[in-house]
Amino acid sequence: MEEARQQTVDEFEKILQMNGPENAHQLHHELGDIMYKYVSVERDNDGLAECVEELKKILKRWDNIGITDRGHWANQEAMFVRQLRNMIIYAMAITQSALQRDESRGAHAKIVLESDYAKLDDDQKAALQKKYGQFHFDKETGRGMTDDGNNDLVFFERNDKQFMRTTIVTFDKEHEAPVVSYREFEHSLIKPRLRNYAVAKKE
Amino acid sequence: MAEEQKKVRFVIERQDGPNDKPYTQEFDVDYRPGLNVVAALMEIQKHPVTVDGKRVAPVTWECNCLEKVCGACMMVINGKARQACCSLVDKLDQPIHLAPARTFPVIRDLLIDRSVMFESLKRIQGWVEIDGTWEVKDAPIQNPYTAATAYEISHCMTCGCCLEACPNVGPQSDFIGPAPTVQAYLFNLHPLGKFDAPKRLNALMGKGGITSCGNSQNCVEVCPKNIKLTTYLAQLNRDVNKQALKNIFNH
Repeated sequence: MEEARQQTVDEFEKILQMNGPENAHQLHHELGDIMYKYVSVERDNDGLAECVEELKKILKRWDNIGITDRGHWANQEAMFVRQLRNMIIYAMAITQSALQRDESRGAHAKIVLESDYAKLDDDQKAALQKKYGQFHFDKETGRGMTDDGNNDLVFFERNDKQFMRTTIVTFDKEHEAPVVSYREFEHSLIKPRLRNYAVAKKE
Repeated sequence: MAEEQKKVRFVIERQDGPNDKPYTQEFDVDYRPGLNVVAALMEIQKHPVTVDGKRVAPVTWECNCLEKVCGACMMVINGKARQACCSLVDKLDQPIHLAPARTFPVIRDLLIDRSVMFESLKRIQGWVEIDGTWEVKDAPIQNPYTAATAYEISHCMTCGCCLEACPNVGPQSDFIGPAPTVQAYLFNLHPLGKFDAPKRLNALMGKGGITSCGNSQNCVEVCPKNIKLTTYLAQLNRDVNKQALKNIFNH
């Protein structure tokens, strides 16, 4: 217990000595912009992969933060610097697990890219055909779009077979990277169904 | 040629700790449409340099909801107590003067300790007793004639603007202030809370209670939620007097 306390105290004292050129609040703003750009409601694997790289850079830059307030009384700046590191690591966990989850679930919709489509099995391809009709892939972005003239985006279906699991993310301190694994959860008593607000519940 | 970036000047009253002497510092913040005081303070955090080019510790303050619901960012802006999050730069005279609400203990810069109000809410029993071992079936309905009033008072976010503006709240008096006092009225209106009305009224009879109100009407002027504080203070005054008479006849 005492050891853990001392560890945290040392960590905080180290933050108070930080003397780099980066401003923590500016970095936080950039973190928000990156997440909003790549990991919003509609996302695709290219963007998520890019985001993983961007976040690595942000985490590196965290080491170069400089602090102007070195006091011990109500020091919001130092507290924020400590929280910010956790925010960045959390952002990495979110992005990495989103990247590995090739499906749409809940409010999160992943756009099918040309490179993703090649990896789908025949049943999945047929399901997309049935839902969207004919579609093509945009030359510039590689995103699936319908041929009906509306250019509606084509999204992954929910994939219970592969992804109805809890995502567990641990942080590999040595490589400063998130490690994703999955854990089964109990759902034998309630049969999973689509969340569809367009039709009345039949039960 | 690019237009020159418009700046907004902030004159901020700062203080390093509860017992340190206050001093002022000035900051320039880039203007943008819709800029409010909290957003400007955030810009100062990103670039904590005074107009003299001195790098200083960023200004300390508190905020939370950013939509005038939580009450945390109450401060004195151009001489008036209000929420920083809904104070639009476009509607303020410049330079904009910021100061902590000194009715409350100042922790640092614009950060204050508002816990005295929460202690007062405990004193007036600002809650409804519903938890028990019995089953609560259908909830009793709100009185439709007073529901609008209850709704209005329930907007109170314990920000403390009224205490800052009140001339009777301060070291010279024990007055708990308009906000906690008027909460007693809210809970006395409640169909379950009314059973504890005597407790609340007796609490307001004591030192620092309703008699400390001087009816200066400042609270109702500054309330960011437009709660008709003085109206309810007057009503409470009547209720407290009624309770006092009941107490005499041991009723």
